Amino acid sequence: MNPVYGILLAALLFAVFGAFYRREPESSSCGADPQGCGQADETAGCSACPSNHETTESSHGRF
Amino acid sequence: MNQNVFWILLSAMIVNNFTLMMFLGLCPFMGVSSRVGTAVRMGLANIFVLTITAICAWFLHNFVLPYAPYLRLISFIVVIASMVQITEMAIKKLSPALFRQLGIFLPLITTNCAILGMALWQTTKYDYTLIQGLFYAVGAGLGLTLALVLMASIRENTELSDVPSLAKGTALTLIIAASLSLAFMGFSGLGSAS
Repeated sequence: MNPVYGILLAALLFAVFGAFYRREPESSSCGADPQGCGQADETAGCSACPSNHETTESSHGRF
Repeated sequence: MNQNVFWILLSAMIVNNFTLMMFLGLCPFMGVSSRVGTAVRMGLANIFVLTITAICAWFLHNFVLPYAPYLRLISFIVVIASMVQITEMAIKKLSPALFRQLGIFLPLITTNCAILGMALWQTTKYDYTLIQGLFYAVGAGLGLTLALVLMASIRENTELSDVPSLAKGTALTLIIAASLSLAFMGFSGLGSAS
């Protein structure tokens, strides 16, 4: 059998498993320290850390 | 024999997928593919109707239609309509929520050309035995379910994606359907050279 079919079948299997994967909507709870600033950022629209706090490295890459 | 029925199942499910390769049963494919859960249940309803229809079609083809071949289409349609009525009553009784979700598409299984096409091909084109016909019907149903689930999962994910307004809605659905169909065309010839 042509190996291309194997690749296609594997891709199909991957797609079927992926079909049942739920993509969670982004959290809108701004009070839960979304940027990892070390404190809840409820005042600045949750878009940036206060100037006296640095974003922790572990929080980078969160979606 | 075992290998034979396996290839019949695989062929009906993937290589000659009713929806994506032969473009049969597009009504539920477009209509009931917005949620994965609903798509799976619609697929299961289709598998049930296809299987019962395959058994009835085999009996009709071998014991009734030799004496009245002009009744082929009518008898198949009557069988399919009856099976859909039974399925509809069962779902309405067992799961009213699912009954509401499927809506008009549940009785529309009656007019689903994939089911009539399966019954006609099983008896006239391929002349399968009862066991082969059963595997063909289950394969066709699994293929329909596969297409519905893949379509529904992509549509669910695009809901949270930034889609250009030009392609939102029906246009995006048709683009996804075309892409899936192209992908399944890659399976053409699987099993023929082995």
